[in-house]
Amino acid sequence: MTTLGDTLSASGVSRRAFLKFCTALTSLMALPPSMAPAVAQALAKAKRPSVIWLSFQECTGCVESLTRTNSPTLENLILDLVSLDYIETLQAASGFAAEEARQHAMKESNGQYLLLVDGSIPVADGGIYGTLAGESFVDMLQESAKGAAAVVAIGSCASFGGLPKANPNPTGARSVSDIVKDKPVINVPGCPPIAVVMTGVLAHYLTFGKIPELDAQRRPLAFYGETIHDRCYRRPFYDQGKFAKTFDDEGARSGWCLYELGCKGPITHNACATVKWNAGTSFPIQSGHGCLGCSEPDFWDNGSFYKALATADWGGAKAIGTAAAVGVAVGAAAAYAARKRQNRVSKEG
Amino acid sequence: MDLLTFVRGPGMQWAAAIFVVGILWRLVGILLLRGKKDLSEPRKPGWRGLRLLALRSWPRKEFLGGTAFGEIMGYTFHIGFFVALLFYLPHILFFEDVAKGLIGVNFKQVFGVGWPYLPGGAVYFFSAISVAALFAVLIHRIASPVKRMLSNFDDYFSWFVTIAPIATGMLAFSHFGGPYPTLLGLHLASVELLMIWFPFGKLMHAFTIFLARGTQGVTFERKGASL
Amino acid sequence: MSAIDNIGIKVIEAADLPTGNVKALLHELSGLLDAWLSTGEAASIDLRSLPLTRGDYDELGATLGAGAVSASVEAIGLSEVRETRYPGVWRVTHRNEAGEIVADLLEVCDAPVILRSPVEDAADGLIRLKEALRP
Repeated sequence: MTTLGDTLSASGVSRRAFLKFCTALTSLMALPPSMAPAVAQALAKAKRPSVIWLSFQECTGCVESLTRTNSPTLENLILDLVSLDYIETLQAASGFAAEEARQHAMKESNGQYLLLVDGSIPVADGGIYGTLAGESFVDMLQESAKGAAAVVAIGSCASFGGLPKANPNPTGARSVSDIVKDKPVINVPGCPPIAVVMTGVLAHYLTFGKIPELDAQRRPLAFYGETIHDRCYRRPFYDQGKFAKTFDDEGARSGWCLYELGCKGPITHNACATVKWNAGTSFPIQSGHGCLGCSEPDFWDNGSFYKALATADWGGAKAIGTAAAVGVAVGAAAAYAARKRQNRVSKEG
Repeated sequence: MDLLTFVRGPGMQWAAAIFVVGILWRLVGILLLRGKKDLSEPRKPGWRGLRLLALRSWPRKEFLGGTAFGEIMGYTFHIGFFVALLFYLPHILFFEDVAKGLIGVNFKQVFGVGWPYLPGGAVYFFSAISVAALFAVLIHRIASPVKRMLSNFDDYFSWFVTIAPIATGMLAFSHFGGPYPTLLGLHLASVELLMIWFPFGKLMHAFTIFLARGTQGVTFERKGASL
Repeated sequence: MSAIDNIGIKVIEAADLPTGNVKALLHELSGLLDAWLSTGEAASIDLRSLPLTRGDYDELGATLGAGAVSASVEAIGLSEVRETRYPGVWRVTHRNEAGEIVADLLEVCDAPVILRSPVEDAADGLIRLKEALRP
């Protein structure tokens, strides 16, 4: 494998342009600008690893989000930093030719390629709910992970199971880390993840050849270390007790905190409040809608998006009504037994 | 399933169900007991005797010596606890959700104004004094040889399930002691523990005090005893 | 004319209000400039790592102002280099070919890195120059 430095100078990219690219990359990876020379040094020597992207039970939202990245641009990413040997949505080849390209890449770079996965993996009924080219997703993932240096689970479906795993999980959807146990797995959750977060994580691995620091949920700390609430610009309103009560009321139009409208910012780790979406344009709270908590596990089953975090599922009127009936019945039975004892005692005494 | 998802889901459902079953079991079990029929003529008829509930709110002068400490600590704890429980916005949102589900309307819809709430810092202060009062009475209980001898599992466990929600609430509010989602999860878990234990120990005094003192007052009044 | 038309619209961009972060930033620049003058150690600040609102950016631009030097560098997109009214403090805004900002830095140095000619490029240029001079 040729180094990235060789590739760039061969394609006429000046050293100055390369240093600018490294400055942008350093900023993207949330590293201090003083590290740009180290990034440049590492990148110049970096080999262009083969990257294989497998899509399973997904909505393609993660790939869509990735195509909105602007730093580095997706073209840069594909052409310069990596050798993206297989990605169904974007590649030109199809059918047998595509599968052959994948097998070839895996054999050529055995032990060194980076496996990117989006979508969850169904395991119920022998895995028949997800198949490609005659192979189940489970088998495909296990086979592809064998020769990978590391696996990156892109999006909440691959990281935690996502929407397919939501109650009642009819297809037996599982996350990548549920299936791949013997390789390093990086989770980049979000529904979808922010574009520059995806490319930043990839850039980090490709530049330094190792996995960035991860939290307990295997998410890179650089982007998932803080909660939305920690960096939300509406925090002063939260602290002052100024909350929007309904959408489009006076408080909502004045930009007040969305806690009462179900914002899950306090328990959600992501970079939305700082990095934002679409090259720093906005993020859900800035646009007036509470955070859904989409980078946390099981966020689909965590109760209504529009009920405050302080509420919980207490069962509903029917369940409580049943409980009340049971309580009254047991109490009546207890009183009956007690009365019988009272009668017996008073008869004896 | 992680802690927070569990305590906001199945944990709360079970705790609420057990709470309701338990409370009604105990109350119905008490109310349906047969009382001795009093065939004498009541000296003073009616329910005036219920005023004993108010009259016994503070000990008589003669008994203050031994009971003042417990009374003051008791009031400090109860006032602090109820202020924190009822006038903190996230709690109010929880209760409004329950009210909406059970009776179909919330407070604002009935009364035109929302249930009032205090700033978080004020609630933190009230929580702190109630925690302090709880520690004071525990130390008092352990230090007094008579009280220590009389104390059983119910006494200590009820103390624990009462202080845990308040303490974990303070920790969650100040984001101290761990990641916030974990602190919030522990707070809800401790509340659910309280709800599950509540009907089966001395915490039932919350309901039975009214039954017991009320009955006593009415009985005394019937007999013509002075209250 | 439905009921929706009766709802008044008030657009308030909370994100436009300045937060006071610029003052803190200026203090940091003062410290870095001091360090550079005494030890020669250059430094840079990545503006995008800071929680700055649009109002903050406006305030920053107005406070730092424009100095004697302004340059544009064409290297896989345009990079704007401006010395501020405080010599030694430079604003460098890197854009990609699509015109989007990929890095926005404040550099404290005698000249930002992007302005200097790298020896590798000069060596390549020398080869081309010698080639052009061959009869």
